[in-house]
Amino acid sequence: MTDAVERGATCPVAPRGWPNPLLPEYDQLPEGRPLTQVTMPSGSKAWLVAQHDHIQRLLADDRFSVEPHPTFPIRFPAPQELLDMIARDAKNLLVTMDPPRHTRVRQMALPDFTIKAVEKLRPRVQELVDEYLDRMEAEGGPVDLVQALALPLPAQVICELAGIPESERDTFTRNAAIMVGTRHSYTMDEKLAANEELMKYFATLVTEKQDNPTDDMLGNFISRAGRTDEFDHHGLTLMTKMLLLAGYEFIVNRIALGIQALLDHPEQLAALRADTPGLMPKTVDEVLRYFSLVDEIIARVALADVEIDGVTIKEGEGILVLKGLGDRDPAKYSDPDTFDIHRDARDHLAFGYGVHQCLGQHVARLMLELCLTSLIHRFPELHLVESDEPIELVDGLPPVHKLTVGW
Amino acid sequence: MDRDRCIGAGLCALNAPSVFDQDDAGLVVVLNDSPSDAEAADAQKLAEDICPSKAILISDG
Repeated sequence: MTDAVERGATCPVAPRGWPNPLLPEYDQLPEGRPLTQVTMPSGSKAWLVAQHDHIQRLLADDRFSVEPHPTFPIRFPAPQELLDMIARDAKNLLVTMDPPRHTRVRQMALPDFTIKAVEKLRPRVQELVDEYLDRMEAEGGPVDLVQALALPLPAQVICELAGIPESERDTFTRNAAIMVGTRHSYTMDEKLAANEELMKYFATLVTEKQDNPTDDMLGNFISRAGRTDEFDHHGLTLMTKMLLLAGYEFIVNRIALGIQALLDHPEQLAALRADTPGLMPKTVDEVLRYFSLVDEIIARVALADVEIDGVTIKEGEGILVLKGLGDRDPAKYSDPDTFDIHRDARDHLAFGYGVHQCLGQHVARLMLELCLTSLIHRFPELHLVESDEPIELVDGLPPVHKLTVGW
Repeated sequence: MDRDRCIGAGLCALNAPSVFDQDDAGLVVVLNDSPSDAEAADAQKLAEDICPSKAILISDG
């Protein structure tokens, strides 16, 4: 425990380099990864949660809150004005709302994210994947798969979900790419400018949808929200930003990393080519498990004393959920550091757990499935040419990396 | 089945489509409340490990 508190003094879970998802500090967690108390930069107390079982139990426990709270664990020394801004915006974001409001707002978006609703997107997403692969083939290899497919495809899919017209897509894709960061890191000023341009654009988009409702994910959400008094115009603009950008970087990385993992494991790739319908669902879950990154940390604050395995998490204390470690927990998965598409990884934590589990997860699964399937069948000789050196992280997010492939 | 707890993640319908479905609102519905042994075993796994909101309750009856 002393050791843990010491580490806490220098911010316990500062984001670190790519691509090793298991960071040296976490290997120093005590044997068995018990709940470990740390001190946040603000001086408040929080617990590192690294066991798969603990993560599931605590994230499904409604005595923890995502809403701003004076002792909510924030991983960097934040000035008061930033905290005030976060608290203001938090009122309008699904990810920082507790039930029952969270339940009401999630259900405004949910009908467009069901499996059946997402399955309706399949032909169009396949068509888009085919177009990107046609272009790759026409240009000839080697190509950077991130720029050729992983980055542009999700942007186009998101634009279709939002009903963004072709003529306006450039505004979205250009700024969204800056905000998630590509292999050329952008400065904070460039990111702030991109954010400002996007917010201005989303504000216009919200007004357009309010005036002329459209039958797409965003249009339907805005129509449903309009029948309640949950959001004002600025709130809808913030929710639009969250709905359209929350999963963007996540899926870009998984498409690239998924294909890299398969290329690194030729026997598994051969098995997958031979039985794609049988093995692809498992492959998708294993890619999600294996690349569940520690940098995507889930934070909560306790609203009451919570007992777990003989430890009391006191009211007001935080938890920092290291889902990347949970997804590599040897008590849960045998040989957890091995990529294995034959294992049952359906209970991975990549999309989180509890009521805030990723709303767009089926869209992400669909893109990952179609990209992997199309790439491995279209290019039987697909191979890795080079991948990037580790890159410095910007704002705590793992960067989109470069992945050059030939065929 | 606790539809008040259900958050519509859809993992039951994804992993055991012969037993569970999502209605148009996205919430869980049971298609088959007397599943085969294999389906019941899968439902058990869903309830214990996969359903993120603990909305699935298994009863022996």
